[in-house]
Amino acid sequence: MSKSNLNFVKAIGTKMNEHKFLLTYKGDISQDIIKGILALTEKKLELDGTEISLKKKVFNIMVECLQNISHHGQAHENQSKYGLIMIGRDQNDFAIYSSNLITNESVNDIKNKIETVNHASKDELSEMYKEILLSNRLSEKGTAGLGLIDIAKKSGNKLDYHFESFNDNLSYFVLRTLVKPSN
Amino acid sequence: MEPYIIAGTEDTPAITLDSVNNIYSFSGRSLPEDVNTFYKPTMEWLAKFGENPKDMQMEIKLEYFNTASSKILLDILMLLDEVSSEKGVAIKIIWMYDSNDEDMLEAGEEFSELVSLPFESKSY
Repeated sequence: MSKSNLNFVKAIGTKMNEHKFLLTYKGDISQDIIKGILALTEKKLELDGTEISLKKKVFNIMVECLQNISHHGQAHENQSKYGLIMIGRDQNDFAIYSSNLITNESVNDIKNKIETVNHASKDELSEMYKEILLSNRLSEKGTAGLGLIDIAKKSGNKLDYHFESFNDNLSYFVLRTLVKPSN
Repeated sequence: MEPYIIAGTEDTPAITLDSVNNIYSFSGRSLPEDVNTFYKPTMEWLAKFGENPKDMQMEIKLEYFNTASSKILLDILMLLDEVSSEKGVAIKIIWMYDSNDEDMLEAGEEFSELVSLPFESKSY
Protein backbone atom coordinates (compact mmCIF):
# COMPACT_ATOMS: atom_id res chain seq x y z
CA MET A 1 0.00 0.00 0.00
CA SER A 2 1.37 3.40 -0.90
CA LYS A 3 2.17 5.94 1.77
CA SER A 4 -0.62 8.30 0.70
CA ASN A 5 -3.23 5.61 1.19
CA LEU A 6 -2.34 5.48 4.86
CA ASN A 7 -2.68 9.20 5.43
CA PHE A 8 -6.26 8.77 6.60
CA VAL A 9 -5.00 6.95 9.70
CA LYS A 10 -3.04 9.98 10.78
CA ALA A 11 -5.97 12.24 9.85
CA ILE A 12 -8.35 10.23 12.03
CA GLY A 13 -5.82 10.26 14.86
CA THR A 14 -5.44 14.05 14.56
CA LYS A 15 -9.22 14.53 14.59
CA MET A 16 -9.51 12.35 17.67
CA ASN A 17 -6.83 14.38 19.40
CA GLU A 18 -8.49 17.66 18.45
CA HIS A 19 -11.77 16.53 19.99
CA LYS A 20 -10.00 14.73 22.86
CA PHE A 21 -11.82 11.47 22.33
CA LEU A 22 -10.92 8.96 24.97
CA LEU A 23 -12.78 6.19 23.22
CA THR A 24 -14.72 5.79 19.99
CA TYR A 25 -16.56 2.82 18.60
CA LYS A 26 -18.75 2.44 15.57
CA GLY A 27 -20.30 -0.80 14.48
CA ASP A 28 -22.32 -3.75 15.61
CA ILE A 29 -23.66 -3.51 19.17
CA SER A 30 -24.10 -6.98 20.63
CA GLN A 31 -23.93 -8.17 24.24
CA ASP A 32 -20.30 -9.28 23.87
CA ILE A 33 -19.31 -6.02 22.18
CA ILE A 34 -21.00 -4.06 24.98
CA LYS A 35 -18.99 -5.99 27.58
CA GLY A 36 -15.82 -5.22 25.65
CA ILE A 37 -16.61 -1.51 25.34
CA LEU A 38 -17.42 -1.28 29.06
CA ALA A 39 -14.17 -3.03 30.01
CA LEU A 40 -12.28 -0.61 27.78
CA THR A 41 -14.20 2.37 29.22
CA GLU A 42 -13.27 1.36 32.72
CA LYS A 43 -9.61 0.83 31.86
CA LYS A 44 -9.33 4.14 30.00
CA LEU A 45 -10.96 6.12 32.81
CA GLU A 46 -8.69 4.42 35.31
CA LEU A 47 -5.53 5.17 33.31
CA ASP A 48 -6.77 8.70 32.89
CA GLY A 49 -6.85 9.12 36.66
CA THR A 50 -10.52 10.10 36.66
CA GLU A 51 -11.90 10.68 40.13
CA ILE A 52 -14.20 7.90 41.33
CA SER A 53 -17.49 9.82 41.38
CA LEU A 54 -17.02 10.97 37.76
CA LYS A 55 -15.78 7.57 36.64
CA LYS A 56 -18.89 5.94 38.04
CA LYS A 57 -21.18 8.46 36.35
CA VAL A 58 -19.49 8.06 32.96
CA PHE A 59 -19.54 4.27 33.26
CA ASN A 60 -23.23 4.21 34.25
CA ILE A 61 -24.19 6.50 31.39
CA MET A 62 -22.22 4.30 28.98
CA VAL A 63 -24.14 1.25 30.24
CA GLU A 64 -27.52 2.88 29.65
CA CYS A 65 -26.54 4.35 26.25
CA LEU A 66 -25.21 1.01 25.01
CA GLN A 67 -28.20 -0.95 26.30
CA ASN A 68 -30.53 1.63 24.75
CA ILE A 69 -28.86 1.06 21.39
CA SER A 70 -29.00 -2.68 21.86
CA HIS A 71 -32.71 -2.64 22.75
CA HIS A 72 -34.07 0.12 20.53
CA GLY A 73 -31.53 0.56 17.73
CA GLN A 74 -32.67 -0.39 14.26
CA ALA A 75 -30.77 -2.08 11.48
CA HIS A 76 -30.83 -0.79 7.92
CA GLU A 77 -31.97 -3.53 5.53
CA ASN A 78 -29.72 -6.56 5.93
CA GLN A 79 -26.96 -4.75 7.73
CA SER A 80 -26.31 -5.41 11.39
CA LYS A 81 -27.63 -3.08 14.05
CA TYR A 82 -25.22 -0.21 14.12
CA GLY A 83 -24.28 2.15 16.90
CA LEU A 84 -21.75 4.87 17.49
CA ILE A 85 -20.42 5.64 20.95
CA MET A 86 -17.72 8.13 21.93
CA ILE A 87 -16.34 9.59 25.12
CA GLY A 88 -14.80 13.04 24.81
CA ARG A 89 -12.83 14.72 27.52
CA ASP A 90 -12.19 18.41 27.97
CA GLN A 91 -10.16 19.14 31.10
CA ASN A 92 -12.27 17.53 33.83
CA ASP A 93 -15.52 17.47 31.85
CA PHE A 94 -16.72 14.45 29.96
CA ALA A 95 -19.14 14.20 27.07
CA ILE A 96 -20.69 10.88 26.12
CA TYR A 97 -22.02 10.75 22.56
CA SER A 98 -24.21 7.95 21.33
CA SER A 99 -25.90 7.55 17.99
CA ASN A 100 -28.08 4.92 16.38
CA LEU A 101 -30.93 4.44 13.95
CA ILE A 102 -34.48 4.54 15.29
CA THR A 103 -37.87 4.21 13.63
CA ASN A 104 -39.44 7.48 12.50
CA GLU A 105 -42.48 6.72 14.67
CA SER A 106 -40.37 6.76 17.82
CA VAL A 107 -38.80 10.19 17.14
CA ASN A 108 -41.54 12.18 18.86
CA ASP A 109 -41.72 9.83 21.82
CA ILE A 110 -37.96 10.07 22.47
CA LYS A 111 -38.01 13.82 21.94
CA ASN A 112 -40.83 14.24 24.46
CA LYS A 113 -39.04 12.04 27.00
CA ILE A 114 -35.85 14.09 26.70
CA GLU A 115 -37.71 17.41 26.90
CA THR A 116 -39.51 16.18 30.02
CA VAL A 117 -36.29 15.21 31.81
CA ASN A 118 -34.59 18.42 30.64
CA HIS A 119 -37.32 20.47 32.32
CA ALA A 120 -37.25 18.51 35.56
CA SER A 121 -35.32 19.48 38.70
CA LYS A 122 -33.14 16.95 40.51
CA ASP A 123 -35.96 16.17 42.95
CA GLU A 124 -38.49 15.88 40.15
CA LEU A 125 -36.23 13.41 38.33
CA SER A 126 -36.03 11.34 41.48
CA GLU A 127 -39.84 11.38 41.80
CA MET A 128 -40.24 10.39 38.14
CA TYR A 129 -37.76 7.57 38.61
CA LYS A 130 -39.61 6.18 41.63
CA GLU A 131 -42.99 6.54 39.95
CA ILE A 132 -41.92 4.57 36.86
CA LEU A 133 -40.08 2.03 38.99
CA LEU A 134 -43.32 1.35 40.88
CA SER A 135 -45.72 1.38 37.96
CA ASN A 136 -43.91 -0.13 34.97
CA ARG A 137 -43.37 -3.79 34.46
CA LEU A 138 -40.23 -4.92 32.67
CA SER A 139 -40.92 -5.25 28.97
CA GLU A 140 -40.25 -8.50 27.17
CA LYS A 141 -36.94 -7.02 26.06
CA GLY A 142 -36.15 -6.46 29.73
CA THR A 143 -36.30 -2.69 29.51
CA ALA A 144 -37.62 -0.66 32.42
CA GLY A 145 -38.34 2.64 30.61
CA LEU A 146 -35.91 4.35 32.97
CA GLY A 147 -32.84 4.79 30.79
CA LEU A 148 -33.14 8.47 29.86
CA ILE A 149 -34.22 9.50 33.38
CA ASP A 150 -31.26 7.65 34.84
CA ILE A 151 -28.88 9.24 32.31
CA ALA A 152 -30.26 12.70 33.19
CA LYS A 153 -29.97 12.00 36.94
CA LYS A 154 -26.37 10.84 36.68
CA SER A 155 -25.43 13.69 34.36
CA GLY A 156 -27.02 16.56 36.27
CA ASN A 157 -26.95 18.52 32.99
CA LYS A 158 -29.40 19.05 30.16
CA LEU A 159 -29.29 16.34 27.52
CA ASP A 160 -28.44 17.48 24.01
CA TYR A 161 -30.03 15.62 21.13
CA HIS A 162 -30.42 15.67 17.40
CA PHE A 163 -32.59 13.76 14.96
CA GLU A 164 -31.93 13.48 11.27
CA SER A 165 -33.97 11.65 8.67
CA PHE A 166 -32.18 8.63 7.21
CA ASN A 167 -34.93 7.31 4.92
CA ASP A 168 -38.72 6.88 4.85
CA ASN A 169 -38.66 4.57 7.86
CA LEU A 170 -35.58 5.45 9.88
CA SER A 171 -33.86 8.41 11.49
CA TYR A 172 -30.51 9.00 13.12
CA PHE A 173 -30.71 9.78 16.80
CA VAL A 174 -27.73 11.48 18.44
CA LEU A 175 -27.52 12.03 22.19
CA ARG A 176 -24.85 14.00 24.02
CA THR A 177 -24.61 13.69 27.79
CA LEU A 178 -22.28 15.86 29.85
CA VAL A 179 -20.62 14.88 33.11
CA LYS A 180 -18.91 17.64 35.06
CA PRO A 181 -17.18 17.71 38.44
CA SER A 182 -19.62 18.99 41.06
CA ASN A 183 -17.26 21.63 42.49
CA MET B 1 -33.33 -24.94 52.77
CA GLU B 2 -30.47 -25.25 50.25
CA PRO B 3 -28.42 -22.07 50.05
CA TYR B 4 -28.18 -20.28 46.71
CA ILE B 5 -24.64 -19.01 46.21
CA ILE B 6 -23.13 -17.74 42.97
CA ALA B 7 -19.89 -15.91 42.22
CA GLY B 8 -19.88 -12.50 40.58
CA THR B 9 -18.82 -11.81 37.00
CA GLU B 10 -17.95 -8.62 35.10
CA ASP B 11 -21.66 -7.90 34.66
CA THR B 12 -23.52 -9.96 37.24
CA PRO B 13 -23.38 -9.78 41.04
CA ALA B 14 -22.17 -12.30 43.59
CA ILE B 15 -25.23 -13.57 45.44
CA THR B 16 -25.42 -15.40 48.74
CA LEU B 17 -28.79 -16.53 50.03
CA ASP B 18 -28.01 -18.81 52.95
CA SER B 19 -30.63 -19.30 55.64
CA VAL B 20 -28.53 -21.95 57.40
CA ASN B 21 -25.72 -19.52 58.23
CA ASN B 22 -27.88 -16.39 58.03
CA ILE B 23 -25.91 -14.73 55.26
CA TYR B 24 -27.82 -12.80 52.65
CA SER B 25 -25.99 -10.53 50.25
CA PHE B 26 -25.76 -9.08 46.76
CA SER B 27 -22.46 -7.52 45.77
CA GLY B 28 -20.54 -6.34 42.71
CA ARG B 29 -22.19 -5.37 39.45
CA SER B 30 -25.62 -5.95 38.08
CA LEU B 31 -25.59 -5.00 34.40
CA PRO B 32 -27.11 -7.97 32.57
CA GLU B 33 -29.29 -7.15 29.58
CA ASP B 34 -31.63 -10.01 30.38
CA VAL B 35 -32.28 -9.44 34.07
CA ASN B 36 -35.32 -11.73 34.17
CA THR B 37 -33.31 -14.82 33.30
CA PHE B 38 -30.42 -13.94 35.57
CA TYR B 39 -32.57 -13.24 38.64
CA LYS B 40 -35.04 -16.11 38.17
CA PRO B 41 -33.30 -18.49 40.64
CA THR B 42 -33.00 -15.62 43.15
CA MET B 43 -36.72 -14.83 42.96
CA GLU B 44 -37.57 -18.52 43.29
CA TRP B 45 -35.30 -18.91 46.32
CA LEU B 46 -36.81 -15.86 48.01
CA ALA B 47 -40.37 -16.99 47.27
CA LYS B 48 -39.58 -20.33 48.94
CA PHE B 49 -37.88 -18.56 51.86
CA GLY B 50 -41.08 -16.53 52.23
CA GLU B 51 -43.10 -19.67 52.95
CA ASN B 52 -41.13 -20.34 56.12
CA PRO B 53 -39.11 -17.20 56.78
CA LYS B 54 -36.85 -16.11 59.61
CA ASP B 55 -35.26 -12.83 60.59
CA MET B 56 -32.96 -11.56 57.88
CA GLN B 57 -30.33 -8.91 57.42
CA MET B 58 -29.80 -8.41 53.69
CA GLU B 59 -26.62 -6.66 52.59
CA ILE B 60 -26.74 -4.93 49.20
CA LYS B 61 -23.31 -3.73 48.15
CA LEU B 62 -23.44 -2.89 44.47
CA GLU B 63 -20.77 -1.07 42.55
CA TYR B 64 -22.96 -0.56 39.49
CA PHE B 65 -26.46 -1.54 38.47
CA ASN B 66 -28.42 -0.84 35.31
CA THR B 67 -32.00 0.45 35.20
CA ALA B 68 -33.38 -3.00 34.36
CA SER B 69 -31.74 -4.33 37.54
CA SER B 70 -33.29 -1.52 39.59
CA LYS B 71 -36.70 -2.90 38.64
CA ILE B 72 -35.70 -6.37 39.87
CA LEU B 73 -34.17 -4.92 43.05
CA LEU B 74 -37.49 -3.28 43.80
CA ASP B 75 -39.28 -6.60 43.17
CA ILE B 76 -36.93 -8.29 45.65
CA LEU B 77 -37.47 -5.57 48.27
CA MET B 78 -41.25 -5.68 47.83
CA LEU B 79 -41.28 -9.44 48.19
CA LEU B 80 -39.27 -9.19 51.42
CA ASP B 81 -41.49 -6.36 52.62
CA GLU B 82 -44.56 -8.54 52.17
CA VAL B 83 -42.93 -11.53 53.87
CA SER B 84 -41.89 -9.33 56.78
CA SER B 85 -45.34 -7.85 57.35
CA GLU B 86 -47.34 -11.02 56.71
CA LYS B 87 -45.18 -13.47 58.64
CA GLY B 88 -43.97 -11.10 61.32
CA VAL B 89 -40.23 -11.60 60.80
CA ALA B 90 -37.71 -8.76 61.10
CA ILE B 91 -36.06 -8.02 57.76
CA LYS B 92 -33.55 -5.24 57.48
CA ILE B 93 -31.62 -3.93 54.46
CA ILE B 94 -28.03 -2.81 54.80
CA TRP B 95 -27.30 -0.57 51.81
CA MET B 96 -23.55 -0.31 51.26
CA TYR B 97 -22.13 2.43 49.04
CA ASP B 98 -18.69 3.68 48.09
CA SER B 99 -18.03 6.84 50.12
CA ASN B 100 -17.29 8.66 46.80
CA ASP B 101 -20.47 7.49 45.17
CA GLU B 102 -23.28 9.86 46.06
CA ASP B 103 -25.51 8.42 43.31
CA MET B 104 -25.42 5.01 45.00
CA LEU B 105 -26.34 6.54 48.37
CA GLU B 106 -29.27 8.34 46.72
CA ALA B 107 -30.36 5.14 44.97
CA GLY B 108 -30.60 3.45 48.38
CA GLU B 109 -32.65 6.34 49.72
CA GLU B 110 -35.02 6.08 46.77
CA PHE B 111 -35.54 2.36 47.32
CA SER B 112 -36.07 2.90 51.03
CA GLU B 113 -38.90 5.34 50.25
CA LEU B 114 -40.71 2.73 48.17
CA VAL B 115 -40.91 -0.02 50.80
CA SER B 116 -41.50 -0.07 54.54
CA LEU B 117 -38.48 -2.26 55.35
CA PRO B 118 -35.89 -0.61 57.59
CA PHE B 119 -32.83 0.55 55.64
CA GLU B 120 -29.41 1.34 56.98
CA SER B 121 -26.94 3.08 54.66
CA LYS B 122 -23.28 2.40 55.31
CA SER B 123 -20.33 3.75 53.36
CA TYR B 124 -17.17 1.77 52.64
